[in-house]
Amino acid sequence: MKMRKVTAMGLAAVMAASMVPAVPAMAESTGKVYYLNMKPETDAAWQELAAAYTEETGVEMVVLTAADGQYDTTLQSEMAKNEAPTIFNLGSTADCQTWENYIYDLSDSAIYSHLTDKSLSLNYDGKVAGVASYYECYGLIYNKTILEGYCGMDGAVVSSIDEINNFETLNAVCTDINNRIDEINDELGTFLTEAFSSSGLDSGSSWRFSGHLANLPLYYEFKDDGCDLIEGEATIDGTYLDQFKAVWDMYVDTSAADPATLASGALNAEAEFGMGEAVFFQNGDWEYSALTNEENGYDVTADDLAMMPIYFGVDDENQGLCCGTEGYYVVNSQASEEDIAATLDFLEWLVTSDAGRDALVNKMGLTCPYDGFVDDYAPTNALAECANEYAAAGKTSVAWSFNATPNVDDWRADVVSALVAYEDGSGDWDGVVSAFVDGWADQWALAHEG
Amino acid sequence: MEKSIRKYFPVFVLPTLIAFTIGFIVPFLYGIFLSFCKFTTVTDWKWTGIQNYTRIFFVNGKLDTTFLHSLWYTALFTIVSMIVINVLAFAIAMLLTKGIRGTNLFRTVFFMPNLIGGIVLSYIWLMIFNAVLQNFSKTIVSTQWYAFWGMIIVVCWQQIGYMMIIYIAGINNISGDILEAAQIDGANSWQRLKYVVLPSLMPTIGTCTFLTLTNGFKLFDQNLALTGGNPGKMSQLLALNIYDTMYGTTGWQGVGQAKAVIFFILVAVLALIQNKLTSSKEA
Amino acid sequence: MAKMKKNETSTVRQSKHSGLLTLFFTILSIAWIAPILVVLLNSFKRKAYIFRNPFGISAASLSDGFDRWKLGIHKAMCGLLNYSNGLKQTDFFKCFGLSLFITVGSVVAIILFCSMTAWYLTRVHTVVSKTIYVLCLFSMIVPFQMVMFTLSKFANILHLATPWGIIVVYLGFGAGLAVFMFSGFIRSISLEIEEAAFIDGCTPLQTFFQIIFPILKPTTVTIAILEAMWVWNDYLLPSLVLNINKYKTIPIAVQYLKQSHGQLDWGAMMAVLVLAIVPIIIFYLACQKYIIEGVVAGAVKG
Repeated sequence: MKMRKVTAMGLAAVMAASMVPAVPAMAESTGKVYYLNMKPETDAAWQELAAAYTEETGVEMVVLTAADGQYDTTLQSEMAKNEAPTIFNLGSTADCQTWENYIYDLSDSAIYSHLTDKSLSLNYDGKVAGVASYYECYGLIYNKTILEGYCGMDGAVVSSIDEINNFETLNAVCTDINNRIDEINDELGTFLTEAFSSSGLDSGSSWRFSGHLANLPLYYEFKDDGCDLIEGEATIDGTYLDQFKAVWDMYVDTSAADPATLASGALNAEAEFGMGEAVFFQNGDWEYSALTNEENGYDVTADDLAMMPIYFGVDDENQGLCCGTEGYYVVNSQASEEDIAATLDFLEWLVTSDAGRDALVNKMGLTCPYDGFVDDYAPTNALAECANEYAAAGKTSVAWSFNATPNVDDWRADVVSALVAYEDGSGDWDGVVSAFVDGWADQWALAHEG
Repeated sequence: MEKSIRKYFPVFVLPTLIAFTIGFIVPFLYGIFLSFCKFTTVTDWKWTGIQNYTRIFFVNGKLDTTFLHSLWYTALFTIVSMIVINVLAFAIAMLLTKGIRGTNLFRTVFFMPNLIGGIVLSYIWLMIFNAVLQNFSKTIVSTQWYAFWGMIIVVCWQQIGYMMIIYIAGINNISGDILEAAQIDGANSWQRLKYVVLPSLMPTIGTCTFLTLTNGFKLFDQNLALTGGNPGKMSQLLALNIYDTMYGTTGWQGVGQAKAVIFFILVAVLALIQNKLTSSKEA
Repeated sequence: MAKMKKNETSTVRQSKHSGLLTLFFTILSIAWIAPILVVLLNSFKRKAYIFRNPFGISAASLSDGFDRWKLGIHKAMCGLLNYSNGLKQTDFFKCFGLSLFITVGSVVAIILFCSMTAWYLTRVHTVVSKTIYVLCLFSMIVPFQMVMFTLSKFANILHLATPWGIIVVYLGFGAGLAVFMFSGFIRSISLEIEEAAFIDGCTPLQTFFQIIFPILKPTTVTIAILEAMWVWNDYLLPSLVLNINKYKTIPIAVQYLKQSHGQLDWGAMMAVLVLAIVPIIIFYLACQKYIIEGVVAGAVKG
């Protein structure tokens, strides 16, 4: 291995030498920081923060944000490059296995010492492979103002939002709203077109279902089987896919979108919800900034926003929001010593400095599990606040079991294809079950064949 | 003279040769080598023999038809696009050589899409297709056949103008004397087309079929931007299938590279056959 | 006499057909550019209404009454909002500059170095020359997928992931076609001119640049056009080779617009597509003659 590398480098060196005029001179004296970011919605804030860091410390810093659904691809191509990322995001122990040669042990790092909940670190092979970059929660975002208005109407299924605390009631409410759109619009002066915003199955939206909604059947099955909720197991039975179907059918049946064209990419659920055309929107607290950003021109305001659990018909009494993280900061152990040192310095700065904390909390709207995030840097996110309220009310947060998904892009792509086929009539629900259950076993075998 | 030039090898050839070595020779040879290895970057390879090639077709002990599907889908796409583009381009070229008013303007318009790149072009059509199809509860990725004909329309729009230009040049090159002689001999326009125009256009037809053939076979940008291989991987042409294998799933780079070698062999064989055919026709 | 008559009738018929044909082609031409016009129209429309009423200009339909329809126009149209969003999301002018730089740089490099190489290979008959020439021919039939992985990795090892570096890569991957076409033309140039120059004491470099290179002009134009069309529109090679956090060409910017902001902002997309097309159309109208001649010459020789 080492020999080969030397030979290849030698070859490269010979070539490089022969190409002298084309190679720009590079200053390699101080370390650099290169962060490969996986959350597209935070890109602008990261670029700003990187510039600010360079200005403050003189350390060169670049941030590349991978395109939606392209993170794994981008990570692979970037890591193979000469100037590879010094910080990147991994989501699970399965990822660690893939990248085991690139994992730097963070157990002695400053950022790890600031981590308040050590369970929000990623452990692999006796190392602290990563620390949570944030934690998030998702559920059903709803328009509180409109929903309260509906509750006050004659003949409403419920008379207060609190009564919506299980799947059956939720389903009844959505169906009723969807059936009485015109009546509600007349009475409340709203512009509703549907109860649920569209469930787009294009690449920009399908992860909400193949990832986040699919989390619930996975979570309950892992719980039954007693396996680690985040690491999962090699085969699954799809015990709770009937509930998955019921929720999915509710989404589609109470939405104005044509079920046969969900994959077209022409739908925009965020805009529907933001313009006050829909009451419900399955998504997470990270949507808060997009929905309240004035530049987007949406009608909803921070006061309209609230989130409830995705009632799933299994343990609705105790179920809270789904909380966890898909993104741990991992430091590239193959980077040069200077770069690693610069990177560790940056990570500490990120969670302790005013500029860093301000960017994370106020600009990116993240909820960060580090000790300095109090007072001015407490989460400003009304949706994240909902998670705390449910937790305070004794509900159990649902773990992010979808982090266990083997070959996550491939598995999800197959599930989405099956959902598309189910909705446009070219397939049936058995296809979804098969993609879910058989696909899991296949991808697991592929991912773990070594 | 030859001797005095020969000394100038470093000036005349070396720059190109170095770039050619970096841009082609080394990647090509190393690519063939890596198709027999398991690797994630170019430096961490492990020799695995023909395992990558068997994994194209057998995964987890089961037959995997993705690549075979992509192969015949590509073949069909190539043939259909070749025929449609050439027939239409030829027809338009024939009509535009009749000297009607506005010929230059029409030629300008038909050729224009060719300058717009595959990615930009595909997003224009993605918008149009979905806007039209939504009236019928369909999308461009509803089935592999919507995707198929969508891509055919896009490549037609892009390439008809190009081929038309070449056909026009060919038609204008046919000597007026021969046509006139045929007319004097009483040949009607169909006979003139069959016995005079088409035979004298054989080299042009050869060029255009070859161009459309290789364009179709190697199509990537339009496939990526218009359908992304959806639904499922059913509308993946070979080039996208290789890209998807190589960059989509960790640990499958070797299989992707092996597919690329097969792809290269297919293209090479196609080029050789075409070469044989045209040179024998011209002889 | 009979023949004369037949000729006359056919001319008459042709001119009658000619009017119909002009009409037919006028309609066809409008249909041909209709997709671009639809995109242009939608680039001024609020994103929510692009797919609700893709071919109209109002949020309401005429059947709702004229007043509502007129009101709906204000609701649906948003002026230049999409353009400012699109410019911001893609950093379009930077992408345009980069595309221009890479295209011009690559084409100049290919023309200069490949014409020199082609002359040398044609004039010097050694095994090395022959081998290089055959390799160039061979490279023309190798699809990019065959080398994409290794090429992009080597480019990175060699620090070629920059706008300057990618020019080297384009020179390398584009050399085959250019050398082949230049060689074909050079073979048709009579040796006598060069021999005369040598007798007058010109060095090979002087001979090449003062005598040969000017003669090559028609081929140069052809190759420049073919390579420029390729490089300007290329997506895969730059997306794999370039450091895409720093450098995005126009096709990369368009593709990333689709992927990078959750559900696609179709308004911004429409605006960016228009911005991407306009320079091409202007360039095309200005250089139409050369482009069309270049394409014909390229097809005949290639």
